[in-house]
Order: sequence, then C-alpha cells, then structure tokens
Amino acid sequence: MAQFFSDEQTTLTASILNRIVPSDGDFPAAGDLGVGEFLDGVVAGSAELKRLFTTGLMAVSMAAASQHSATFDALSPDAQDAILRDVESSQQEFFSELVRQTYNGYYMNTRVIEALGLEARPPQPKGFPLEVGNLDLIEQVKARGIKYRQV
Amino acid sequence: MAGSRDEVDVLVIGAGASGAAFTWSLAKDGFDVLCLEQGGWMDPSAYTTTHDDWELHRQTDFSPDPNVRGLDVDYPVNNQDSPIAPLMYNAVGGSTIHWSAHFPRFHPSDFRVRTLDGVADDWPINYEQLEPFFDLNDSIMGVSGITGDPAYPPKSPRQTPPIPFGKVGDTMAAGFEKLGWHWWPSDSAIISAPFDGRGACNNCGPCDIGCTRRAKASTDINYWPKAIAAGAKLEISARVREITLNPDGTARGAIFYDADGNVQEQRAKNVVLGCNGIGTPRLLLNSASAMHPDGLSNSSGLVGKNLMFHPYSIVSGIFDEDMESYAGPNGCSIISQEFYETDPSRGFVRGYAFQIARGAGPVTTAQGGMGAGPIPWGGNHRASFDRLFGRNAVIAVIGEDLPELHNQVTIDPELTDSDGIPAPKVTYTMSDNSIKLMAHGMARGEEVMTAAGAIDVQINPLLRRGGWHLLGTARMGNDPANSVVDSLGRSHDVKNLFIIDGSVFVTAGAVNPTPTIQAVALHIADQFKQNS
Ligand SMILES: Cc1cc2nc3c(=O)[nH]c(=O)nc-3n(C[C@H](O)[C@H](O)[C@H](O)COP(=O)(O)OP(=O)(O)OC[C@H]3O[C@@H](n4cnc5c(N)ncnc54)[C@H](O)[C@@H]3O)c2cc1C
Repeated sequence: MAQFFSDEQTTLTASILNRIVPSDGDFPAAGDLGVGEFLDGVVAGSAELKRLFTTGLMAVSMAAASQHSATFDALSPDAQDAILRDVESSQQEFFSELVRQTYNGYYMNTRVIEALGLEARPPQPKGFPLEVGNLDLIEQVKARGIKYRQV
Repeated sequence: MAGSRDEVDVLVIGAGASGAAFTWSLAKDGFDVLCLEQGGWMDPSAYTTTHDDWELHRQTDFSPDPNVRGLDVDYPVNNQDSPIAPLMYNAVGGSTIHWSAHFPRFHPSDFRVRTLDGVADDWPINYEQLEPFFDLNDSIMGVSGITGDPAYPPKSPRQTPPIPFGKVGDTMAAGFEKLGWHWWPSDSAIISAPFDGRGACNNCGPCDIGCTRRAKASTDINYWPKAIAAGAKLEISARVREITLNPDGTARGAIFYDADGNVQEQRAKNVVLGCNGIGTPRLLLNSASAMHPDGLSNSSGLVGKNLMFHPYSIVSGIFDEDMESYAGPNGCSIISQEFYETDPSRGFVRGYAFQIARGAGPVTTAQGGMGAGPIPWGGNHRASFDRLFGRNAVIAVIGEDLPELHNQVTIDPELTDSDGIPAPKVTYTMSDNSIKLMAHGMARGEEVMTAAGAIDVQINPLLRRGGWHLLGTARMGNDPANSVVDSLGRSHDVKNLFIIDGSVFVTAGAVNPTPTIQAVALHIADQFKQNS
C-alpha cells in the first residue's frame, strides 16, 4: 500500500522512473526496481513535495492525453522522453526533485550497488584498503628548494 | 529571569574549534571557566556512516547548511545576497563535527600582506609567535603528515604518518611532478594510526558525516574531555542572546536561553566569544545598547565587515581507469602550493592553493558531487554515471579573498532562530583580484589534471555550497579605529571582552583556516593567563 500515491500515480510513477534511469545490462530500470516505493515514502513526509508531485504527475498525464490521446505508460519510450523533457522545463522544481529522489533511491539499492561491483554495505565499520602511495617522490619536491616567501 | 547563578571568572560562548582549545588551556592551569553552547553532545557511534542510507543524510538532517538542516539548535542565515552559502554545525565540537579535517597552517607571509603586497593589512601577530601554539594544537588534535614540506618553515614531527594517497593521490602527485610543481602529502587532523585512545582511520571516505572511529579530530572527542577532566564546566542547550554590561562599561555576563527555554543571566569577570565568523558578529550586533548603539565593541564600525569565505573553484578530472576514488578521507590526500605566494606577473596579488579531494559515493556522484549539477537522466544516464563513478579526482582551488567592507554580516530584519533571536544575513561579492586569481587557478588546475592523465576535465567556477570558512568579521589590530580587538584578542572598547574565533582574522590566507584559528585561540589564552 502506497503512503501517498494513488494507484494511478503509482503506475504512472513507475513508468516515469523507468525513463529517468532506464535499464542497461546488469542495471535494472528505476521503476522496475521499485524506486517508486521509496519516492512515495519521501513525498509522503513532506508537504512541499506532496504539492510538487501532485501537480507534476498530473502535468505528465495531461501532456500524454493532449499530445497522444493516451496514458503515459502506453506510449513508446521516445514519446515518453519527449513528454518528460517538456515537463522538465514547464515544472522545473518538480522535475529536479523527481530526478534527485530517483537517484537517491536508485543508488542506495543493493542490486545497483552490486552491479557497480561494490559490496552492498555502508562505509563503516569496514572502511576500504588504500595504497600508501609513492612517498619517495617527495624527495624531488624537496630538491626543488624552499617554496615559501621569507618575511 | 530565573534564579541567580554564581559568577564565574571566565565565560566562553561557543564550544567549537576555538572555544574548546581556549577553555582547555585555561582549565588545565586552574582557571574557573564555564562554556555555554547552544547545541548538544554528538554520539560518534550514532553517525550515519554505518547506515544503509548514509548518503542521504548530507542532503537533509546532516547537511552542512544550517538552512537545510533547520534543526532547533541551528540559526538560519539569510544567504540570498551571497554567491557562497555559509556552512557550519552547532554542537559541542562546533563545525569540526562536519569538517574534512584538512589541516594546513598559514604561512609567515600571510601575516604580512600589507608590507609585502601593499593590500589589506598586516596582522598584529606573526607566524613565529603562533608557532608554539600550532605545535601544541597539533599534539591535542592529532595530525597525520610528514615533515620537510618546502612550502613551510620546519614543523614539529607529525603525530602519525600521512593519510594513504590511494590511486587518486599517486596519480595527481605524478601530474605535479611532470610539471615540476610543488605538492606535498596533506597535513590532516585524521590519525592514520591509533593515538590518544582514538582508532586509526580506515579510509571509509565520508568524513563530513561524522567519524564513528574517532579518527577524525573534532573538539568534542579531544579538547573537551581533557578540559572537563581539568575542571572546566560546559553547559549545553544554552543559547546566548546578548552580552550584558556593567555601569562602568565592562562586560557583566550573558543572557541566554537554557535547555528549558528559560531566560537566564550568567555573570562573569571576563567574557570570551568563540561563536565563529558569523555567530560572533551576530551576537555583538544583537548586543546593541544605549552605550553601544551600533552593536557591542563596534566603535570602529567593523563588526560584521570584511567577511572572507575563500572562494572555491572545482576542477574535476575523469580518468580512463578505476581509481577507487570513493575510498579514503574525502578532503585529504595531497596539496599543492605552487601558486600560493604573490607573483606580480600574474596580474593579481596573493594566491591560491590546490587541495586534492577524492570522488564520492554512488548517490552523491549521481547528484553531481561538487560539480555543476546532477548526471543527466534518460538514455545517457548509465554511460555518464559509469565514466565518472570511482574514476574521478577533484582539485579544489581555494583562493585568498581580501578583506572588503562591502562583504559583511548584518542582522536580518525578519529572520530569527527558534528562540526568537534575530538571525544574520550575509552579503558578499567577489572583487576583480579574486576573480582573476580564481581564473588563474582554474586554468592551472586543468593543466595539472591533464598532465596527470585525465581524459576529460570539467570545471565548476564557483562552488555555492562552499562557505566553510568564516573569517574577518571582528578583526585584530593595534589601531582601535581600524580593528575590533587587539593582538591579545581583547576588545578595544570593552576591556574584559575577548574574541577567539575566525572573526579576528585580518586576512584569510589561501588555506583552510582551522589550525590557525586554534593557534590564535591558544595564543590569546596564553596571554590571558600571563596577564591574570
Ligand atoms: C562541512 C565543513 C567542512 C570543513 N572542512 C574544513 C577543513 O577541512 N579544514 C579546516 O581547516 N576547516 C574546515 N572547516 C571549517 C572549520 O570547521 C571551522 O573553521 C572551525 O570549526 C571554526 O571554529 P570556531 O570555533 O570559530 O567555530 P565553530 O567550530 O563553528 O563553533 C562555534 C560554536 O559556537 C556555538 N554558538 C554560536 N552562537 C552561539 C550562541 N549565540 N550561543 C551559544 N552558542 C553559540 C555554535 O553552536 C558552535 O558550536 C569546515 C567546515 C565545514 C562546515
């Protein structure tokens, strides 16, 4: 059960997200991955986002109806992208929040992190191994002499 | 007003980088000192680096921007008339909770800008006077690095060896060597081996969201426990509204809101401000009275003026191989000070430094990191992300901005904090010298990125969310007409009022300021003790 989105909005959001981050090789599309659920939770927690998303999602549906007499999810990927680009310029605030929150939900996801070749875990407690580096090189820096201005 | 409290000898306001160092110095020599801090204690084990959603917190409740965080302990800052947004944290430890712990000192020339370059003013103190306090501060903060840097007079041995370079540091060092330019492993207030009961850094990356290992120095884990053990008192959730005066014009204490929201007055023989370069002028301006109609200690008219931030330009290089650039302390690897000192042939005075920063985690990379904006959505998203993630290195060009009267902190006529205390507004613009200097820095940054082998270089000319350094708004000087405090940090107007934070900086240098802020605070403490 969505916290904020209606059934229609849930379906619509999934198809939009599939165009924000489409599938590619091992990487699932954002909508198919369920990022819509994450988005729903974020929007539900903010009056400002509720306002933006209610209007923004409606604008996407209306653009699909007026340009193609169809629902957004029934359109081809190219037609969907064209509509999203229109909405990106007409509803800028909505769209930048949509992209931001999609990236948040997507790149936190275990499947995506593993597809990046990383272990799906937070930075701590394990940290990362790191090469100490070539400290011998500093001898050359020293050899070039004093660098600060005498006062 | 609630019941009367015992007068203390020394009242410090603000428990950040400077307030902690100053309080410790006095407490260890037996002084009666109380610090009031509006924030609370952080719990290092609760930092979000152990959470799956760790990267989201820097966008919300752990943002470095107080306006984004909007916590009750924060005060908002009107930043609409500034291209750079001021950043800070309000807690025991102050902004060191958030900082990257890059720890370069000022240079001897930084204190002699008027004499050497004919601009701004000389400081009334110099490098040699501060040197013992730089060393003392290093010994408490814990600094990793290596001595011998030809860009500095010799320094005392560092507490632990340098932070590992990783591929980013190695690759960039090779680029600097190709051009024959200065570079050096960063002095970092992050210990690379166990020190003083704290764990060694394990290169997890995001120092800015708090260090669960306590490898990154923050004053809540080093200075404060020592100060409290020595007898210092620290009261949290205590937000100072104004400084009060005795009939003879000396400071009497401070009025503050306690944890329950009650108004209290704390009396003191001496009052010391360590609220940072924005909080301190805010408090002085909010302490206007019949005796001081333009704000306390403001007979010079310079309280809030001469705000310096250090403008930052970001030069990002993308490499053709996996650099694992998300690993390692994000702000610390190597530095270059090739273009630090003035060279008149460049068409500007003073200079800039390069701080080599690393890449970011997946979410922050997608959001564009310190670059110009998010990775594109749609069909090109995957390719754009994959060529960047783990494969980028960042040069932060940090420039010396000069003290200018029009860059300032004032009191916003409408904005307040959650206790109704008027909040500050910052007004800032970049002068011709700063613009030329940064342009030079961006071009040289691109040159060294290319020399290091970057296949693509992207430049963000001005980082908006880069107001990490808050300096100059109550400056030091010998002439009361031209400065707010003297070389001992003492107000020219109010003889038992002292300022110890970055507000007292006469000029900004072109390095991160905190080692110098703390050395100045320890110097003021030392003089205070000698004169008491
Ligand atoms: C994200 C980030 C990264 C940074 N990285 C670096 C770095 O790598 N290297 C470096 O050198 N510097 C860095 N800095 C800057 C560094 O943190 C500051 O220079 C330093 O903390 C300033 O010390 P301070 O004592 O002047 O003020 P702060 O440390 O900001 O402390 C001021 C304290 O005063 C308290 N206060 C303010 N007003 C009141 C009031 N009215 N009543 C009660 N309490 C009050 C505040 O709550 C706060 O705790 C960074 C800063 C940030 C935000």
